[in-house]
Amino acid sequence: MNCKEVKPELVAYLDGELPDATRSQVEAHLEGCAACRAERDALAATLKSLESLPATRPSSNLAEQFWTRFREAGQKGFKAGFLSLFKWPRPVWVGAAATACLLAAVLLALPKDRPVEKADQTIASHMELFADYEAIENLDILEDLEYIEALDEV
Amino acid sequence: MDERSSAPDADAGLMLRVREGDQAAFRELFERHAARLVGFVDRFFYNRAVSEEVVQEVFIKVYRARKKYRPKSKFTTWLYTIATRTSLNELRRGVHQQKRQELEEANGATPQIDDEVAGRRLQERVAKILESLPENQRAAFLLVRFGGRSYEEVAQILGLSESAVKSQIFRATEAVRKGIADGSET
Repeated sequence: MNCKEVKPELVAYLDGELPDATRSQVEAHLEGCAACRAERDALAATLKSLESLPATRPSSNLAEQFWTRFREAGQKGFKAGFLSLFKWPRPVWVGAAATACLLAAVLLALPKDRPVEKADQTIASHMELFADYEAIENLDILEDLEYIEALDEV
Repeated sequence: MDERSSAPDADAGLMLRVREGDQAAFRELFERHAARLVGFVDRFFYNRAVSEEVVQEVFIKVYRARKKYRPKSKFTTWLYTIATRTSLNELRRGVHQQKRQELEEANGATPQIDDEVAGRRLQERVAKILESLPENQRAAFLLVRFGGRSYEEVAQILGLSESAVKSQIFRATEAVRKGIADGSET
């Protein structure tokens, strides 16, 4: 290995992430190359200084906050899943309903023996109407019912 | 074969119990990982309150996704995948702008002993360098340096090859080394 090949391996070498064969090649090169040894030492010093950075410790009430939020998330999850469809701004759910109707109409209007490409083209030409897909997609939050049922055990 | 017996680690075993509705197992997973996860996530935000919010969100997501959990790899790989994605999404939403300001204000606000000042200045310099890096490079670097993840795990978390991870981490480390050196000269 030459210097150009060794340099990109040095951090992985210091991290102990090189396969044995590559590590041996890097070590062999380092023995005879002062410039690469200096590079290795500089990188090692950088890694060491990063280790000295203080780690943020969580506040003492993190667990308490979490379990409160967990229960709330469960309660909201059910309400949001079923009722929030009607709490969304009117354009959103009206748009979602209109999109669903239009999609059904487009698909029904297509000939039964249509080529798949034609259906795709029809949908593609009305892409702006599918902007409300997100509203429909969110219906899966009804799955949170099970989550609520489990909350009593927490 | 019983999935639990083939689980690669104790956490995966706990998660399999969570999948089956065992709340005590979920509690244990939270207690095992929440504190360290706050330390990791905070390297994205440098704001404990924001980081704790994100970590709570991560565990809510873990619970919601419990039925989809499969112990193909370590539980921590799955956990840090959720944590990294959630953190990057929050960053894209601009939460980080507020925290940067708060970090700088905190550094200038109260008199501190020399070591502490030096540590905070280094922290701030590293944070600024990392902010300038591409998303994957930054995430790979943080996962290895502050999340304690192996290159193999980072590859799985970010959907990259191990070779790409090695390259990303090398570039990020070089950038940090140069940035620290430039900062100490000014």
